[in-house]
Amino acid sequence: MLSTSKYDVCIIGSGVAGAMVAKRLAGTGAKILMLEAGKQFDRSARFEQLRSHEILRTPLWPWVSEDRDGYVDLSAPEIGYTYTLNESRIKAVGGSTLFWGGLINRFRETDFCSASTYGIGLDWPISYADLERYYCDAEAEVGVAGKQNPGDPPRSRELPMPLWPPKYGEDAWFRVAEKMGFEIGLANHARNSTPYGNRPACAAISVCPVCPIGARYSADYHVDQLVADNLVELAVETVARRLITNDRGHVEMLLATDLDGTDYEIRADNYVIAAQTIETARLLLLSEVGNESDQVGRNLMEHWYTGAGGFIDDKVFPRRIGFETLECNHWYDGPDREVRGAIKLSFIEGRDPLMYRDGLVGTDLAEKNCREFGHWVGVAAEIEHQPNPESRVTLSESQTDQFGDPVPVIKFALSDVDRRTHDTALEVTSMLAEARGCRDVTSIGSYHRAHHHMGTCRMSSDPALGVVDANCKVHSTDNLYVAGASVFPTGGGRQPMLTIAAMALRLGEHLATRR
Amino acid sequence: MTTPHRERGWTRRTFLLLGAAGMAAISTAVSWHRWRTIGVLHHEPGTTGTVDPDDHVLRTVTEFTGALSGVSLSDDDRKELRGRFSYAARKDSGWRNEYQWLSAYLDSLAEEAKGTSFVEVSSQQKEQIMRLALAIGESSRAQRFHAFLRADGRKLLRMRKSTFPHLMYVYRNSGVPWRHRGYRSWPGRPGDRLAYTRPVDSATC
Repeated sequence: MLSTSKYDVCIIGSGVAGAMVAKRLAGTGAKILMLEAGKQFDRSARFEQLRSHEILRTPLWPWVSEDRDGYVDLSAPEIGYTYTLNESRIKAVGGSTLFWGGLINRFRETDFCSASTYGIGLDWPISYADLERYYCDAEAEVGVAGKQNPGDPPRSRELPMPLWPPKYGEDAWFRVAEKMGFEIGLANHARNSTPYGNRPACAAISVCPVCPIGARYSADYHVDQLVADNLVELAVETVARRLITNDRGHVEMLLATDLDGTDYEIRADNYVIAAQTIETARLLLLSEVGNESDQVGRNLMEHWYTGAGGFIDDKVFPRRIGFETLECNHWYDGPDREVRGAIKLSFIEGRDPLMYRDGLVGTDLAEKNCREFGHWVGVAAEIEHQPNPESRVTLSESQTDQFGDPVPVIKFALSDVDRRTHDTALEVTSMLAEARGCRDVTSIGSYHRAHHHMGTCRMSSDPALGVVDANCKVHSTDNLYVAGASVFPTGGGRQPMLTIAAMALRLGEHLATRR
Repeated sequence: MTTPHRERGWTRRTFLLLGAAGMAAISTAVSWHRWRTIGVLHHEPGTTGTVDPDDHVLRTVTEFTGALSGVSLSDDDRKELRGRFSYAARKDSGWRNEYQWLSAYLDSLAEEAKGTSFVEVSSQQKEQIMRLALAIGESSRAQRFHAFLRADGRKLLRMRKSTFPHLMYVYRNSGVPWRHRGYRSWPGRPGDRLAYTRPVDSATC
């Protein structure tokens, strides 16, 4: 049951985008409602869930399940497999930050102007300089451990926590880099190297995507605090279904329904859709709002992984932590960038020889374990996916959800530029693995998903080319905003989380000035 | 003068026959799939309860897992694995049933070969019995099909397809393989957060 019939701001979604908008608005006295379609999960249950997963193979966390919201995927002909969407969009308080690796980066300056710099992609209507102070604020809010790295854009404030040092054995990669004339840096982490933000320091539990102690940031901590301080009213398991606008483009109300079937008419001065890339586009399409330019749902982007690795003679000791510590930006820009996208490298190790397959058991398996464990290393490449109008979210004409609303249809489409980026990345990673001394170098696969959904409501000063303006306001409305990676015109090759948070803080500040 | 060619038409009867054949094929495929996946070749989930499995069954399953993984289990290893199998059996009575059947089967093999129970035979003999259990029905399609026709044969096939992978899954996620690699903490267990910067110096392999 909602407490009132009128709010200053209604935020749809409680992931990091919604949390950061609310956080920046909270000090202004604004009456804020946050809607969350999913549940509020109990953090204290995480160790029991982990034990159950380790023994009974139950889902690592209850929200990581395909047996959930309906969708249709048409991506297989392009990427070679069916894209399992629900694994990479978490419907719960905290959103997809409940399940992520914790590597965090600012976008580089060229990510905001790839069209004018390289002639591919699209320029953003804002620059890196416009966003820099919000990046600093986002790093402080989230809690980032690290340092300025080779290839990082300039910063005006130091990171709040000490860096994570390299792993044992990774000095070999530094030697390769020195010999080949490029630089390797230490990755930045939204993972506490010291206690920070009322969360403990990392305890090396090594199951990072679902950190059971909260050492890796997740947005539910922000939401919980805002609710505890009575700064935000949170309505869980309440699904936003339609935005109702008048003929002047003013959103007059939001229609929502909770899981008991109770309907709500929610009125607010301003609305912010922060429902992750797919559902944000879906709500606009269902509401028939903001799509005058036929841009809603288009330019759906991901980060794709490829890479290569092989066996080494020396030994490393993998899985003592659950994250990578090194990164390389040498191929992010650099040669032939006019015909390919950005490539960011990370350095990986370990393959588990104890997988039960090939009929290998007993002393044979034990010997294989001794022979192979700690002797496999590789290089992974996270590559840019160019904006592409055919890569998109639409509405299904045949499948509906429990309320009778059409489910989303997703289709990730690749261009020649994307394929060149992939091929270059595979070539570079294979070359580096061989330079490291790897034997039997093989690819680790192609177009693996990073679970980074971007685009579908892109930002542009020109209403004909985008859905929102530079302030993230939907062009054809006067009080509807979008927060999250769906507004990204391009996705670069670096993790989007920090840019989502920085953009959301910027939007929160903009909304505060409107009060 | 040539005989006029008469085209063969699609009669109602042909349609009915094809339809019936199609339905039969779909029905067979669905049954076959179900047979292969639920309760026949794969473990059938049961209910959660509080009844601890039989001590001898847990000991047998633990020792068998040691034979599967090819390592000599320490007392700590046995205690941990046993705790995990006990958890699985309590949370899912389907696993308790599988463990009981496996234990009885291993004992019957040990009895036949050495005149004693599985847990009492030597490590070398455990590995031999494990390989015997694993090889059932493996040699040819005809033998697998023959095994399928017998209730005991189907259970053995299910052991291979479902239970043995489950035992190895539990083993792999326990601390046992990590301890043998010299680790003092492992995924799922808190440890020294900077240990990863140093080599492991007590690995047995």
